[in-house]
Amino acid sequence: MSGRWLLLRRLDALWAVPSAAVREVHRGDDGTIVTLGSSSSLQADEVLSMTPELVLRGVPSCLALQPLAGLAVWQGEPVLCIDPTAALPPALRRRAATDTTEERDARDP
Amino acid sequence: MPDSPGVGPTKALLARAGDCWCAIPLDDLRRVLPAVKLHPLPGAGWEIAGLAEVEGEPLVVLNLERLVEAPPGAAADFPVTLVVAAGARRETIGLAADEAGDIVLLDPARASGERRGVAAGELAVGDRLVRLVALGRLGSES
Repeated sequence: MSGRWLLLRRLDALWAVPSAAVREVHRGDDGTIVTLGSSSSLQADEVLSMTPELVLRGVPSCLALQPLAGLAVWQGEPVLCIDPTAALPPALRRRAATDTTEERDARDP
Repeated sequence: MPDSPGVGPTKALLARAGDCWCAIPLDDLRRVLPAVKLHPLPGAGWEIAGLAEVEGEPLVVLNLERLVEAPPGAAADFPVTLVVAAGARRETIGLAADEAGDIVLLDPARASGERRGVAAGELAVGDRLVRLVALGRLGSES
């Protein structure tokens, strides 16, 4: 995965979304919403910036982590890089009255 | 290696996790670092302490105490991070620990007792009972 990335913060973690997958960023009643080309949307506490290409490292396969495009580092901080073609990590899913236990746990571990 | 008893004595680093001492075979150990700054990894399993940056590279750091199912000790601030190779593919991860101790010679074949997490058993080292950490089991432990 190459190209620029949109960096955002959610639940105190730094996340990156491929900018090519971003259709819209807007502030809603429930915070900043990033809509992806796939029509899914994610919740951000803060949108930080666009950054040039990140150097992606693989997620250790021996760990049961959520699907990610990889891990990277931006300005000394680790970044969770999202794969827009995969299911969004629960922590990024928009708040809803129908939240599952898993989604609640991801936000309030 | 620790899953293959009979290979003979091997060197291991003793590391304390809570009130439990563990033996990390040197074959699996890459580096011993002082505390690293841990960043949250939302939604990750309870054994994951967080994400760190080490010399420009991301590192997933696991809580050694939870990994070997040690009884919880005092709240840890993880003054030591062990960088190790883990899993069948020997991928690099970090282990957050409370103290790094001596390097000892031990025989994995003498480990006995119940397997706990990635601990393949226990064995006596001096006057301590230590849990032998078999990092090759990570991801496949049951």
